[in-house]
Amino acid sequence: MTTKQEIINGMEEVIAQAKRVSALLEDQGDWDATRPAGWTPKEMFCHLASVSGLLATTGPGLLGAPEDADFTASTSIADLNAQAVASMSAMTPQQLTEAVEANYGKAIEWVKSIPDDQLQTAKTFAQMKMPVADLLANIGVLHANHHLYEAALRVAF
Amino acid sequence: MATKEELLDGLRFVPAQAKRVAGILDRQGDWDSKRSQGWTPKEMFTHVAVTAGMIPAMGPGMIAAPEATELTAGLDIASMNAAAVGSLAEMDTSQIVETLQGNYSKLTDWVKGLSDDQLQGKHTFLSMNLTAADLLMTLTVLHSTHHIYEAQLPVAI
Repeated sequence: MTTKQEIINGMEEVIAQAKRVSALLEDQGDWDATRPAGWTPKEMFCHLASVSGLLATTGPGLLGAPEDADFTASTSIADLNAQAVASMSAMTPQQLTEAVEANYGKAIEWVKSIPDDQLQTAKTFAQMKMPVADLLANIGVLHANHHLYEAALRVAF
Repeated sequence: MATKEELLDGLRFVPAQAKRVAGILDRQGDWDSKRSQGWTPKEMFTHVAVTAGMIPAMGPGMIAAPEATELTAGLDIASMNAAAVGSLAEMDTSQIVETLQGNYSKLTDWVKGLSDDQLQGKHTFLSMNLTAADLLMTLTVLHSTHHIYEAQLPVAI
C-alpha cells in the first residue's frame, strides 16, 4: 500500500508535469490537435482540471462509503467526462493549467487531513477492491500522468 | 524544460509505482486479462521494462543526432513493440517487475552521466521539436506511468 507522503509527492509531481507539458504544447502550438485517444490536449487538461476538482469534493463521500459499494456502478463515467470537458471548454489553456494546479493544491490539503487508518480502509472502484491510499494514487497520480502523456505526444507510442 | 533532478525524481517514481501496482495485480490475480487498450497487464509491464532497457542503448545516438533529424524515421514502432513484448513472454510477472527495476536503475545511471548541455539539446521526435530532457521525461516517466495506469484498471476511465 502506498503511503500518504507518496500520494502527496505524486500529486506535486502531477502539478510539475502539467506545467511542463503545458509549456511544450504552447511551444508546439498544439493544444487543439485531436490525439489518437480522441481528445485534444486542451480537452485532456479540462478533464484533469475537473477530476482534480472532484478529488477534494467527492473524496469525503468515498471515505464514508461501505467497502463493497462501487462508485462506478451507478455513475456513467463517459457522461461525467463529457460534461466536465464541456463545462470548461471556454477556458484558455493557461487558465486550465492554473485550474489543474489550484485543484491539485486543494486535493493535497485534503489528503494531508486524512487519518492513516482511513487511508488503509478497503473500497471498491471499477470492480477492484483496494485501500483508499492506492485508489488515490491511481486516480490522483497515475490517471493524471496517463492523460498528460497522451496530451504530450501526437502519435500513440 | 525538465531539469536533470526532475528527471531523476521521475525515474525513481516509475519503479516505485510499478512495484505498487504489481502488488495490486498480484492480489487481484489480474495479470493476464486483456485491457481495453489491447494488452494484458503482463504485456504492459514487459513493454515498460523493455523500453527502459532500450534507452541507454539507443540514447547516445539520440543525443548525438542533429536537431532536425526525425528520431523515429525508419522505425516501425508497432513491430518493435510486438517484438519487445514477445521477448519476455517466458518470464513470470515477478521476473518482469525485477527486470523493470533493473532497467530503470541502469537508465538512471545513464541519465546521471548526461551533461546539462546534452539535456538542453533539441531533437525531433514524432514531428515534435523538444529538448532531450523533455523527450526523456516523456518516454521514460509519462509513457511508463501511462501504461502502469492502464495495467491496473480493468475498465478504461
